[in-house]
Amino acid sequence: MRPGVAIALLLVVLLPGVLFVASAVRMMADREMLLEHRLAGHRQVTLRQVEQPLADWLATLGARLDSTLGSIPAGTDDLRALVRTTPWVRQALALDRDGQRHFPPPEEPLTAQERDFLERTRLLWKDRGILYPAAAEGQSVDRGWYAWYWGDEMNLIRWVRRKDGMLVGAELDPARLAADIIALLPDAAPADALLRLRNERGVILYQWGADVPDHPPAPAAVRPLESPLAAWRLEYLDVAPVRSTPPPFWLLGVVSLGCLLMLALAGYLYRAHRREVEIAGQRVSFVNQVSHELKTPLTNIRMYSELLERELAEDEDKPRHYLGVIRTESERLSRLIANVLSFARSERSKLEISPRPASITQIVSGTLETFRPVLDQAGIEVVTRLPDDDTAMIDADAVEQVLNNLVGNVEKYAAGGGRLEIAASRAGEMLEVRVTDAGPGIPPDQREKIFDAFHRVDDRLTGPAAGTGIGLSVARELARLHGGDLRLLETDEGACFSLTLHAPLAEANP
Amino acid sequence: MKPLIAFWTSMLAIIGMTVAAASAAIPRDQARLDAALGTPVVLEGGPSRAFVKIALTGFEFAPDRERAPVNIAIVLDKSGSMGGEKIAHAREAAIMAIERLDRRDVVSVVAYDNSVQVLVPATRVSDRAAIHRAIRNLHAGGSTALFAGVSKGAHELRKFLERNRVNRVILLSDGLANVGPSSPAALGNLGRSLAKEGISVTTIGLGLGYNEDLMTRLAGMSDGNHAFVEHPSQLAGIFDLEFGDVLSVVGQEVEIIIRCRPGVRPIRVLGRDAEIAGDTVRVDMNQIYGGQEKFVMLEVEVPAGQAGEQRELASVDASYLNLQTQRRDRLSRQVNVSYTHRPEAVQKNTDTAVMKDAVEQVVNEDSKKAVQLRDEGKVEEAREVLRQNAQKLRESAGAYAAPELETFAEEMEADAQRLDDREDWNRQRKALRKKQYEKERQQSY
Repeated sequence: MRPGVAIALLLVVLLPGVLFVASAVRMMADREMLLEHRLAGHRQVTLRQVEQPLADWLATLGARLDSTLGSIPAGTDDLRALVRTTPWVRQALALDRDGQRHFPPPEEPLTAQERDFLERTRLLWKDRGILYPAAAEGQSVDRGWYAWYWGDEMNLIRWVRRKDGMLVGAELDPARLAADIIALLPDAAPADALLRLRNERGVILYQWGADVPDHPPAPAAVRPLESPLAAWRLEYLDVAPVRSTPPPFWLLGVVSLGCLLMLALAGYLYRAHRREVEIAGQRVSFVNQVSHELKTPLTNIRMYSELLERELAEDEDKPRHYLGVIRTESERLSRLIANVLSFARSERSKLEISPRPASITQIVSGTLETFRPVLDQAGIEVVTRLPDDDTAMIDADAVEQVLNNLVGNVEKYAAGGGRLEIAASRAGEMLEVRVTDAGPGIPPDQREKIFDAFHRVDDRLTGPAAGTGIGLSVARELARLHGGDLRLLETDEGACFSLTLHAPLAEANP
Repeated sequence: MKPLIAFWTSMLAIIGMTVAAASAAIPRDQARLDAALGTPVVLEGGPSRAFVKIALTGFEFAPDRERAPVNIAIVLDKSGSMGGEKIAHAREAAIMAIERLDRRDVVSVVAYDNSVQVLVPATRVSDRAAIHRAIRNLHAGGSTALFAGVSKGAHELRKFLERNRVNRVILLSDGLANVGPSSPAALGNLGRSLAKEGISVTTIGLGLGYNEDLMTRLAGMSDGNHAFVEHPSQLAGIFDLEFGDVLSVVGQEVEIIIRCRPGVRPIRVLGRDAEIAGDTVRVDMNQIYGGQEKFVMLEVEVPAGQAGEQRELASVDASYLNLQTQRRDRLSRQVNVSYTHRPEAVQKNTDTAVMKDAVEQVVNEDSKKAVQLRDEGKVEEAREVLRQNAQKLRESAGAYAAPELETFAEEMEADAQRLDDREDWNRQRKALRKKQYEKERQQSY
């Protein structure tokens, strides 16, 4: 099989196959990505659902504290009672209209807890403005959260600026805050996920869902809580590794079916091609064998007809004419056979040339001599323009075969023109032989095709002449082997074939 | 004839006692408030120190009255270390204890390891079988999310939180809290916050793996009980005692306010958390139990006075929510002191019962210091503190005619002996903490 065909077949199978598989893989990747997207969305939704009640609760707590702080009498006993009875409140503070400390009372004995509170809030007492930073920008903010760190623990104060000009605040008990938020968190979660709440120090306050693995993976999603607990975060951990979903059966089925179809198609094409090649090979080898078989009897026919011609008397014109016909016809047959054999050799890439010193003038003359009877009979006038002495390195047999084909074609197809011109000329090492006729010429769309094997310009069986359709193909092959080419030149009328040959002059190397 | 005389004598005696009780003017459905100075007569001259004992003794519910309904959250550790017979005993103890409740009561069961599982959401004790089933399904495994366990337990209580109910979390743990906040301070804060809602937390430490500081702090700040259970088989007994206590609560939201008169300076309150602001001392307790005495031991500085002078030292106001009458009872007492120049008079008038309790409390405080010293590796110094304690107890035993102090002294000696036993220290520390807690809170078991 020719490598081109093999590559073509391979491409026929592989290209769609590869495209097919690639699109399937792409599709899977898309699906995976879609799943991952959906999963990420699901995680965020889960975290949001967990977070929502916490935010609501915190808002409620804030509102509750606001109403208490907004209305409570700000006396020392009242605020102490507030601290004593409100579970979320660890300590209270109050600033009077001028921003001076009102509670814890500056001029009364303090409890140990109140002293601790003053210590914790040292910074606040240095700069009271940090309680309500937004108020400085001209906004009338009258309540809010204030968060600060004492040690590494975050503390929160809810403060309210009241109509009476006082600012009253309550410090949340951090432990209680954590406990209440934990109490709001669910017990159960998706079985393959572990959810966690971490506080500002990264301490896991609570976790729920799947069992905790020995080496927990990095969280797949994180959501900070809303202000003022923005330093806390919820984490979503995929405990069971996300299984990459197997491609769906239908996709696998379609892909393998497609590949199978491609293979079957390739197999069919391969078999069909091989059969064609085999049949052609058989045909060629059959013709080849037959041609070989024909060669010997033909040689005998020619030899004996020549012998017989010699035996004939001068006046026996009729038998001589008959013998001439026998001879020309057998020569035609010889050329045919030579073409067939050359073609068969070229098919097996065994066509070779072996240049020897020879004269192109002699070769042309010899050829014309062979064709003389048929040319005369067809009424074709032959004109030659040949160099006087031109001995060059030429494979005489090959050149003769080419000329045979060209002249034979003139005889067959262009006899009506009544003219044949053969001119040889030299340009450096290249020898050009032009064969021109005055026949009907060759239609432009056939100009290249005539050099293809088995192509005939007029394929009608009833056509004016018969042929094998391999002559020009073999001729061009031979010309190219000879370092030249065989081309059809454009002419106004008739056909002009140009045979070029690489034929260095033989004088240098006698 | 003789038996008849005996009969009449005894009859008279009974009548006499009844009259005496009636004349004491203490209603049967009210707690008794006592405020007494250890040394009601002090020497004249320079300021001196004295102990004031303010005691509240719970009344017993009248036989025809039902006890107060309770709301209990049992919070069980089911971490990996609880495996085997520990969890088995815990299950049985919880089930047995719940048997003592009836349909007026509310119970919830929460179990924690890495996370928290509400086994029985707060529910009235009517479908016992379902509760038992849920408890029996409990298996051990995982870490110890103690903080979250208590948080969720308290959350369950809140569903039925009522002033007239006894609200209590009973926490059982055998290990160190290793998920969530785990410092004694954090758990203490949580306890204090829960106490504000009338929730107390009883902590039961099982085995030798738990953190006794955390457990006593949590119990202390919320005014619950604390127990050290070395062997799981003792759990049922402890649960029984604890439920006995819970079922005997007669008063809640106890406030004791001691106002010292000018010149009298409160120095410290022994054993309990108190809020001292200037000359006002305030102690809150979550509850008083029927028939049990809970007291506040306050050390004060008595100002200088002249012989023969008598003056008011402090006034005491106590109030609590009476669970029988569902009213708030208010009680007041006054503490007086008189001055003398005769030391014998001081001695003669000394209230030995008060002094005995005061000595116990002082020694208890020192004993805590000994534990701290031992923690720092100062074994000898710790032992010295305990020995001095024992010495002090022996002297006081004689002075106040209190043989119990002698027994206490012997225990103290024994504790001092064992201090350097490295392997036993863990167990001993837990036992010590438990004893100290029991003393300072006058715990019934």
